[in-house]
Amino acid sequence: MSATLRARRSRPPRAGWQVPATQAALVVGFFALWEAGAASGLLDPLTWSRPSVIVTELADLIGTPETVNDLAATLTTLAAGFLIGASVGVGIGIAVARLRRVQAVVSTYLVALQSVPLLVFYPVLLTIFGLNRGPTVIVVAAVTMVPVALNTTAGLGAIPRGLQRLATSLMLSRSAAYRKVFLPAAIPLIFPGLRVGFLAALVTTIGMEFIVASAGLGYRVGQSYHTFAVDRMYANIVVVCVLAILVNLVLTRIERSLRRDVTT
Amino acid sequence: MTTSTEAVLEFEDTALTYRTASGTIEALVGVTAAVPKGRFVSVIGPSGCGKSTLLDIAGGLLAPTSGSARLNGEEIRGPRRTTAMVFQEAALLPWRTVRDNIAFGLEAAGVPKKRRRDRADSLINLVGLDGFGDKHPGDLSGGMRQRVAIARALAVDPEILLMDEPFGALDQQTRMMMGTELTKIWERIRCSVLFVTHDIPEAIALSDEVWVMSQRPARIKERVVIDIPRPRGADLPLDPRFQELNGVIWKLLRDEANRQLVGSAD
Repeated sequence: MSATLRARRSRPPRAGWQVPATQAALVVGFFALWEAGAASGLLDPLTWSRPSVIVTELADLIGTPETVNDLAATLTTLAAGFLIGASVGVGIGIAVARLRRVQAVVSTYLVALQSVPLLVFYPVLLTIFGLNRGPTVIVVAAVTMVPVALNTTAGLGAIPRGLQRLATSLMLSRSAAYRKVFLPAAIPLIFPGLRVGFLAALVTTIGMEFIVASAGLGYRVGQSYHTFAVDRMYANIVVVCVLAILVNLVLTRIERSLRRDVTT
Repeated sequence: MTTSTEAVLEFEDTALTYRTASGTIEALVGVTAAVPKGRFVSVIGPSGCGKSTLLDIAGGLLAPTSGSARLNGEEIRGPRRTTAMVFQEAALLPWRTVRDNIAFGLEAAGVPKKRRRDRADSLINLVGLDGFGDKHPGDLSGGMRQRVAIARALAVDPEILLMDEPFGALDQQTRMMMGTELTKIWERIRCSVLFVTHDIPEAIALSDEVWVMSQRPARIKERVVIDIPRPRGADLPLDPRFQELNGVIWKLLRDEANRQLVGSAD
């Protein structure tokens, strides 16, 4: 038995055709059933639309100034919120890891904040900043910040003692020690934080657009729904999904290239 | 043979006391000894006796509570760029290549790129890692990683090399090979070394002099001069003088271990 175990471990499953074929079949089957259900009248067209209609709607949608505008609005909000949140998160993470007193005070709040749906604070922010992009960016930054800060602290807390002694014995300045040794060494833990933060940022961006925006993909989905344009709504949902998948792919690529050399 | 040379590292009545919640702990009391220039000195003693404390004082990572520690006649007040340390963990930067790891100490010291690259390449050769310059630490075995750490330490051309059980994390076979390898490297460059270990044969094989530490609070119980001529080959353990010295040091350490047992029975 141990022999078979060893054989399995040493030889990773070969990339055959079965897995992708099954996956493709599942997708095709799903859309075929959906289409058939809609065609037979089993699925209410006002709730479910139908794939063939959504595809034509999508074709109309793509490239229109409105869609380009929505896409740009969503992406800039997301990017601004995520970048601000990630930078602040890394900063707080460093401060918490470095200063024991700060750690004692702040870390409890961070953990608690993790379970608070920060989205609910939007009315407060609206009254402070008004009905513009500001509140959305702030909420997105806040939801990004929390996991990034927690993971940065964890990553810096797990720096091997040898690396700490190395930095001291080489007389690295504090900033050089962080730039050249501690932060790169913490990347394997910081990156999952960025990942979680990004997903939260994406969900929050779309969610906030439902509520307060006048442009953006989330806004467009909501607006189509309110005007009974079900087919348009589905087409916009497809755009959101594709965007999410694409950005996730890019993140995975970046993570892999960063991590390749970091893990020993 | 050892007395005429000038001292690089001197401890004079060096003592260190820790203050903890439950009182003070005397880690080191009145250590007086010196590492002569160009000599390999090992510190051996019961585990937890303060060997590493002595090394940390030499490296400027800890300050003695009384007495003094001097490097080339100058009081040690903190870490210096001319003191190189090798730890039990290789402490390499896994995202850097072997070459860039070796050059890291030089980079920290602000040596220009071209020069540190050349220096790193010559050290790669010295420690026998030719062809591995562009590999990452993750691609190397434990013994090879420790060679990189040694090369990084030697790259800065240190006044003294401080090694804290550098082979402690390796398996016995690799450990013996690394000992032989380090002897060979050292016999080529002859820098001053203070080497902490708890392995008697390793200490004898490498050293010109072995300091046997006592139980805590630690002092130097005895300094044993290792008068086995160099170069020392791989068959050193068969040398009768080696076995004799092995016995001497073992007895010294055994007495300490007995004292510890009696002490803890009180």
